[in-house]
Amino acid sequence: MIDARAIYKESIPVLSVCAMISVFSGLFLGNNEDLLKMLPGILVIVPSFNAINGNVSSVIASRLSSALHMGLIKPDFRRSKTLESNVYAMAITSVLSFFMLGLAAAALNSFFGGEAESFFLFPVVTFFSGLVTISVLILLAIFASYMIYRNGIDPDNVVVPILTTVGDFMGIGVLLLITGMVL
Amino acid sequence: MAVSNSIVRIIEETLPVIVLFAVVGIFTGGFLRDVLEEASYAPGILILVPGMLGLRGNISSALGARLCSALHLGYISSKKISRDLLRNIEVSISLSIFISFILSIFAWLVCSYTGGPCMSVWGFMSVSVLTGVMSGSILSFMTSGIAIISYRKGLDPDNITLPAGASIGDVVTIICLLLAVRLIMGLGI
Repeated sequence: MIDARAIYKESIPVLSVCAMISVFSGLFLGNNEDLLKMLPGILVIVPSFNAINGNVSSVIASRLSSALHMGLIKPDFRRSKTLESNVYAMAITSVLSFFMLGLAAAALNSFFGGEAESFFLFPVVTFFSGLVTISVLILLAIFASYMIYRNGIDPDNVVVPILTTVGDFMGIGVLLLITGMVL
Repeated sequence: MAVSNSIVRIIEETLPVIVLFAVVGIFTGGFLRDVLEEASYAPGILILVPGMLGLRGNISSALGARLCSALHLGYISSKKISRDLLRNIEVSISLSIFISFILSIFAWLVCSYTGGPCMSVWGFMSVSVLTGVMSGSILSFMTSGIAIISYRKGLDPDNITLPAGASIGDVVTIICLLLAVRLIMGLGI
């Protein structure tokens, strides 16, 4: 039998907090309507940009929590081969993904009839915004997994929702901020 | 050795999936552009978008994860529609509706406080709850269908249900949001 009350009790608080944080991500979009109308390519890549951030940080978080559970790494913030190869692999994956997304954004922008000063605006903006966001998210993933594991809580249950919500909020903010700065 | 730490191996396994989702995300983005165009009829609508996408993802992945565990443990049969399965779907749809309601109140508060162009609280509520009802129902049944069919085919539903649900979920939710805006603004709220 499923316990519907337990599901409601456990999910309503977490989901409400996520709803509140995501309204602020939405505010970034709402407040930049003019910029987005001028450069539709930016809005079109927002879901993909968030998906890359969310997926890369969830992958690294769940790999780290498995490694912690299996005792392959210790939560002591020291350099280890396992930690390093995980970080390098995800850094390379995200750099390649953001680069491709930037090219897609440039193509989409001209397709949707946006005014772009130069074709290279989008790859540059996407690439640097991605780099800033993903660096913070990878550091947060390591820090949160270690701290939560040290406190005897299973990082699997907590770290991924934290990372995806923070990632959406930061991703949209940084993307719009850097676009505004470059223009 | 269950966990490989070769950099090349990790990249080989994750890059294709991540790029695939980015490509699916571009379709969502295309529809998001239509939402931007509706923004003149429904001012403040963009504020709802990240919340809508995030919540739908969270609610349907929780449903997917519960169903996968229940299938593995044998609490739910993949042969017939059980009461527990229907109860799970019901919980997921009710959560969607309730959280959409909460989200619309937050969105309206933040929107009117920051002083940009803004719909009435009723506008936010009706668009958000209608989107919640539509996409919550479609996605709950879809998530259950994917979990059960993949289990029946002898695949591990854990590997398929969540990623498939997340990427299809975004597109479905944005389309429902557009429909809701058109329906409600057409009715003149």
